[in-house]
Amino acid sequence: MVELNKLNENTWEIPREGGMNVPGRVYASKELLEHIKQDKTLEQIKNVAHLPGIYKYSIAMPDAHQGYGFPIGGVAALDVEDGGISPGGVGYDINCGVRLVKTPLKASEVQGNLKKLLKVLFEKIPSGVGKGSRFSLTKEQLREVLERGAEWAVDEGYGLEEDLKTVEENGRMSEADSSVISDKAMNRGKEQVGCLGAGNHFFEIERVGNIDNGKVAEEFGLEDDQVCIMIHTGSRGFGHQVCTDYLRETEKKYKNVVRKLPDKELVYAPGGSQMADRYFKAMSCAVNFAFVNRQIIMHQARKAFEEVMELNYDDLELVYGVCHNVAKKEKHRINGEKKDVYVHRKGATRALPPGHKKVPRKYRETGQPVLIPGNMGEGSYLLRGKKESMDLSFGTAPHGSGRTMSRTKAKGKFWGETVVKDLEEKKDILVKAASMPVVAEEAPGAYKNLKDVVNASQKIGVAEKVLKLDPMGVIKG
Amino acid sequence: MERFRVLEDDATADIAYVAYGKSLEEMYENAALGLFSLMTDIDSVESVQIDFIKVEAEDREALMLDFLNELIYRWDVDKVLFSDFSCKIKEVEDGLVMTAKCRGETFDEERHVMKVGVKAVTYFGMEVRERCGVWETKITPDV
Repeated sequence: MVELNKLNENTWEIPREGGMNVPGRVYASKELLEHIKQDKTLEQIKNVAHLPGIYKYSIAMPDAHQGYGFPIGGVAALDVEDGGISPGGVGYDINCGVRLVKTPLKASEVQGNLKKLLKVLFEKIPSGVGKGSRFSLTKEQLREVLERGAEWAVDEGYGLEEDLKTVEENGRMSEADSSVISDKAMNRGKEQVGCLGAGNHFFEIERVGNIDNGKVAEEFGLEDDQVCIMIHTGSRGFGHQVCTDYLRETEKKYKNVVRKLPDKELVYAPGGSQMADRYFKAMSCAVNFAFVNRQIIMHQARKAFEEVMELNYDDLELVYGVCHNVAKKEKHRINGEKKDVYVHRKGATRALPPGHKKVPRKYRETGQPVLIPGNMGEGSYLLRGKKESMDLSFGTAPHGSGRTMSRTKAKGKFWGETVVKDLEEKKDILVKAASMPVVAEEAPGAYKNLKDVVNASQKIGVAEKVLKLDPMGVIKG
Repeated sequence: MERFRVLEDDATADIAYVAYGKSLEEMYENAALGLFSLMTDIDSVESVQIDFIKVEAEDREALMLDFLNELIYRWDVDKVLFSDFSCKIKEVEDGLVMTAKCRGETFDEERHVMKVGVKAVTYFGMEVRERCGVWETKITPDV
């Protein structure tokens, strides 16, 4: 049993004890905390607090659940010199993330063509286990992808210059260096660019539903009933191989470090070491790979809307794109001093406040758009970053609704065909899926209520609600 | 004896199972069988090709991780599904060496229904141990 002290209605502290360098902090309502207590999340938050050079607290977001080493929904800022960077703290699907794209259409204009649209999208976007990409890249081309990210995709004709202005890091982490990537990762990457994958990844056609903040919605260019697209995928087998490669290499090189840690998956490359530098370069390659992945899927969406809805290519505009699994070198004010830290966001979204220089110019006064997708019956929320998030969570908000049951249990409880039928008949949501067992695993009933996560985020102050996006059509891998 | 058991409640986000064996080698074979059983209907996979895999690692857990990740790599790149495994393990000065004969066939969309795409195996909950003559360990893949 992990000891918890209530600091306020939505903030709980795990007191520092034993080898913990800082206390743990859980941001959650009482109800969400009950979910969090069901698995090993709280123990994992305590374990993360053992990492060296960690500042303030080891954090769990309202959607936190058990991961490996770090919990999903875990945030930790480690000093770049006295701390380090943990491949497991970034996770296996490096830069798993989402993009929100807007169309100029109203829901009523799309409804009649929805089935056809999903069919064309499903043909254009390879989805599901074992479905490789339409692109087979040479090693030289893959190196360009890894080092230039979404810039490469735009140069190759898979997007517009304008797209790069509204993606985290402008779609490219400049630290990427493909010379530190293993042959195995290269081999896995070259056949996997531009495919959706499976599991919790999806492509969704949504409509703007309830608007909480009309002024901000307008600044993000969105209005009532407008049709949007949400793309959720990551770095596929490439990112997994990078994580596995560096986890093993770090583990072998720093045996003494591993011995002192409560969990092997927390192993880190010490700050300032060559290993930290190499992992950061490799991780940046995987981040760029995922940026390209989502850029190409967005390109295919534009093509599908051109074909079915007779729109122009540039009628589909990128609202914003965020990363969910990543470590960033950032400067944060800690106890009055500016510190350089690796902020690990494992299943968490960066949420920068108005005025921050990393927020795209067009949203600078509004704050960073924060995208929080939910399960396929529930849709997504658009929020914006708030000033308080810098102090509370190193500028971080939750990333989703979080599961309440394992995939095995969900498969025992739900039947894919029934889930699809119910969504269509009861909620008017069309689902096109590569695999019915995956639909069962991803059934809405296997997830927490997204509304609770979003409301808790607003109450805590890490982000502010702007609007809800309701699903119309879903593609699952 | 049960070869592996899928756990219902052990990994909220993913999947976990326990592999058993009357010998250390058999536990590794059953761990590999469990992995591919999660991915597809193992009975539909014929043994028409053999891959020889050699893995060296510092301890039993690392050997498990490297062995299963090598199989995942071959699935991901060569699109080979495996269904039959024969492992030999030798102790060496700084750890263990495994040579494995893995039989299977290339993925055929018409015949093989893919259930889950396993992308890596993690250390989470992994601990190789022997109890009353039965070897076992938990395995938590990331999907």
